[in-house]
Order: sequence, then structure tokens, then C-alpha cells
Amino acid sequence: MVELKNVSVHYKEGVDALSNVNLRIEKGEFVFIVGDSGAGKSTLLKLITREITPTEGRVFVNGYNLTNIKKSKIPYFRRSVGMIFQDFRLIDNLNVYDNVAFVMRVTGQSKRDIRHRVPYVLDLVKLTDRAKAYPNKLSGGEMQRVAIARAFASDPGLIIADEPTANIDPGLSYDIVRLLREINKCGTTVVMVTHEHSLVEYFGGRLISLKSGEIIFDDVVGGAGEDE
Amino acid sequence: MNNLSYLLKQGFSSIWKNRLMSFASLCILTVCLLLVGLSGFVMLDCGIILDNVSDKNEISVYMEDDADINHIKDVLNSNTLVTKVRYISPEEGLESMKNQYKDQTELFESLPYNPVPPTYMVTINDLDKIDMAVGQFQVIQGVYKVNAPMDFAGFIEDIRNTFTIVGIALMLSLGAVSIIIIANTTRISVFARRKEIAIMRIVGATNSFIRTPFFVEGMTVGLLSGFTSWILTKVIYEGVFGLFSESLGMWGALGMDNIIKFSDVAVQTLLVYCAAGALLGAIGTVLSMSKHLKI
Ligand SMILES: Nc1ncnc2c1ncn2[C@@H]1O[C@H](COP(=O)(O)OP(=O)(O)O)[C@@H](O)[C@H]1O
Ligand SMILES: [Mg+2]
Repeated sequence: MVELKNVSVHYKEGVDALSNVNLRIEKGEFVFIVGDSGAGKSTLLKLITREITPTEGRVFVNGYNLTNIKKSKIPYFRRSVGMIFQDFRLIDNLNVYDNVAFVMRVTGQSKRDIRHRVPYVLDLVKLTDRAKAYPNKLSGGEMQRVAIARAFASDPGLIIADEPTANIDPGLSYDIVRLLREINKCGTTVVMVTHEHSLVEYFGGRLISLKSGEIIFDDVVGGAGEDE
Repeated sequence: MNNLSYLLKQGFSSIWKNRLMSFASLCILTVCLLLVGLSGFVMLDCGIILDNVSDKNEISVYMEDDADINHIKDVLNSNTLVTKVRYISPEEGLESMKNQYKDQTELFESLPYNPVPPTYMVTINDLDKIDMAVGQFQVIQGVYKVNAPMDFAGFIEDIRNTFTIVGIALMLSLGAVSIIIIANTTRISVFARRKEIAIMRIVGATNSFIRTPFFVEGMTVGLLSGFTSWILTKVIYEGVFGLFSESLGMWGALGMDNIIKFSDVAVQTLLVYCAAGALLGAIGTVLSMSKHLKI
């Protein structure tokens, strides 16, 4: 599903964001990535979404070799990955329903599919009754749930979340992770970057820890909370 | 189909959101097309008039009724300035006059005698020496009057050359201005929609999908400009054409009755205007997108 082989990223300004990283994430996994600010977490995610290419090494995601993918193929690759950001990135002048429908529309899905799928994903994130609301009327938690619905709308095999709980009330962070875990149960691989160690301690699972651009820990850890 | 209507809608809504700038580009484009188009018409018309009058650039040598026309012919032919001498008998002269003033034939019917003298139409090799030639012809025995043509062809030629230069200058300068304005409009639209564009990229919209609304916007402004300037051209051209045709008798003699009638070329002109407008719109959009919408 996701594979990085001997990957290094050097930004032009002489920063080594990642050095010789090797990583494999299988289909259906739920992975936490932690690390200090500047450790290279976002850089790692940007490699997986093909926002950047590695200076050295190779990246494979969802069967695409991202090191030499054709530019014209990138949009089709991106459709197989859902992305979630800490700043939500919703469109202000579209309501909740249309924010979700928007991504299906711009990736050429039929009106019929949109009419079926959008209510389904809004129900999943429990925002059915907020469908007509505009982003500026939503709480941070609600906005992030819209973003999750949007990422999940085209049923991608992989969801990438970069600190999705950074801008929402701490108490609500758990709901966001629960939602992502629910989506994960349906078979979608989830990779979530966070600096909230409490979340990892609570939920447990595979944990990858980055420090100064290197993986210093990669193993399954037990969670204190909800075991099902 | 679903997609196309969506993209068209996006393009149109973008024009509306960005209406001040769209309107400005529309105006500039319209003025550009109008001025270039009118210059084009003047150029073409001058060409037509030139064809009609170049053979009229002859000196008329009117002779006394009892003049020795063969002798005069020899004298004319021996002049080094003369290249061609053509005889017009009084009867022929009257005929051609009747033809020129078809509407007023009754004028000629009531004539007691033929007032047209025997005439030689003389072509000379150097129009600059026309005054000299006239002077020399006037002193030939039996010649009672020499009429030099005013240098009408030269005058028309000057007009044509001026409008050719003006037309090309306008085309280049206003074309460039139009493209810059359109490019700027696109830049502003791209900026206004940068968030949407970023999200479209993230979720995997294709480049053409992202770009099409801006194309629709630029081309629509171009097409509208084409149409607006076509209407203005029609109004202006037909207004001026009307002025000429009111006094057609005189202008007809100068070949003016053959100039392009707008109604004859209305469809072609509309197509050319719209194509030119759309092309300018497309070039402006592409230039701007390749700079501000790198994908
Ligand atoms: N576009 C960039 N240009 C130059 N340096 C960058 C760029 N993006 C990130 N960096 C640097 O790379 C390192 C890793 O950044 P990042 O992956 O964003 O870390 P994290 O997400 O773990 O906080 C940091 O030192 C950061 O300053
Ligand atoms: Mg980061």
C-alpha cells in the first residue's frame, strides 16, 4: 500500500528533512506518526501524496511508483488518497453538503453517485443535520468532520491526516480519532500524524516516531482506552 | 455532459464575480476589434476604388469640332510623356455620359445638339509631370480645352496606406493591451479561487478540469467583445456608407458605388470578429495560466 525505500529529502535551503527512511504500511493498517516539530512528519506525508518527490530513494503508494509517475497521472493517483489537514481547508462559500459534493463533482462522478454518497458520508460523520450550514457557522470539530467526510467521499483506499486534531478542542480530539478508526474498520488504511501523545497512549496501535528526519521507533503499542 | 455544463457554469459565475474586470476587458477588446475592423474596411474599400479609378487617370483633350484630329493625334503621340492615346467620338462621349447619369436621362433627351466635343483620352507615363503635359497639350492647334484629372488615385492610395499603417499599429498595440487585460482578469480570477484550486488539486481534479472555467471566462469575454464590436462596426460603417450613397451620382463616377456593402459581408464579419475575440481571450488566458496557475 505505502512503501518508502531509502528515502531522503533535502530541501534546497540545505535542510535534511528526511534521511534514509524505510517504511512499509500494509492495506488496512492504522498508523500514528509522532515526532517533535520539524522532525519531518509533514515531509513524509507530502511524499506519500506526491506533493514533493524524494531527493533520493523511491516511493510507492497504491500501486503507483511516485518517483517517476507521469504528471498527467497524478490527479488519478490523488483520487485514491484522501487528505485531511489541521486547517480543514473547506470552501467558505459552499455549505457542508456542497463541500463534500464538490470533490466528487471535480473528479467527474455522476450526479446520481453524488446524491447517494454524500448523505451516506455525512451520516457517518454525524453531520446530517448540519448539511445546509456554512463553514463559518461550524465548530472546529465539526469542520474537521466535514473534511473527513470529504476525504472519504470518493472511497479512497488510503487516508492521510496531518495533525487533524491540532486546531480543535482537546476533548474533541478523541472523537476525530474514533471517526478515523471507524473508517479504518471499513478497510481504509489511515496514516495520522499527531503530536498529542495522549491520543496514542489512549488508542494504541502501530506507532512510528520520527526524530530529525529519521525513524527512531516503529512498533505496535498497547492502548489504555477502548478495546473492542 | 454533466461536467461540461458544470464547467461552463463555473466560467460564467467567475465572470460575474469578477464583473468589473470582465467589463473592462470587454470594453478594451471591443474598441480594439472595432478600430482594427473599421481600418480593414477602409483598406479594402480603397483597394476597390483604386481598381475602379486607375484607368480613369487620363487627361482629357477636348478639340474644336472642325479640328484636324489626325494631326493632333500625331502631335500627341510624338510627345515623350505620352504612352497611350484613345479617341472618343462625340457620340460615344454622349453615350457614356448618359450611362453615368442614368437617373436623369431626360436631361439628355431634350438636347438640341450633341454638346460633347471630340476627345482624346491621353495616358502619360509620369503623373508628377501632369502639369507640364497639360501645358504642352493646350497649345496644340485645334485643342480648345485640356482637363487634367485630379490625382484621385494618388489620394485614395494615400488613404489606403495610412489606414494600413494605422490598422496594423492598432492591431499590434490594442491586441497586446487586450491580451494583457485578459491575462490580468484571469490572474484575478485565479487568485479569487486559489483555495478552491488548491483543494481541487488535492482531491485529484485534472489540470484541464481546473483550467477550463478560466478558458470559458476568457473566451466568453472575447466572444462578447466580438459581437459588440460587430454591432458597432455595422452601425458606424452603414452610417458612413449611407452618407456616400446619398450622393451616389458623383461618388459613383469615382468607383464608390462598388465599395463593400456591410449586409453582403455581415455573416463573415461576425465570424471573423468572434474568432478574433475568442483568440485574444484564449491567448490572454493561456499566458496568465502558465504564469499563475502552474500545475
Ligand atoms: N518547503 C520547505 N523548504 C525548506 N525547508 C522546509 C520546507 N518544508 C519543511 N522544511 C524543513 O524541513 C524540516 C521538516 O519539516 P516538516 O516535515 O514540516 O516537519 P514536521 O511536520 O515534523 O513539523 C524542518 O526543519 C522544516 O523547517
Ligand atoms: Mg508538520
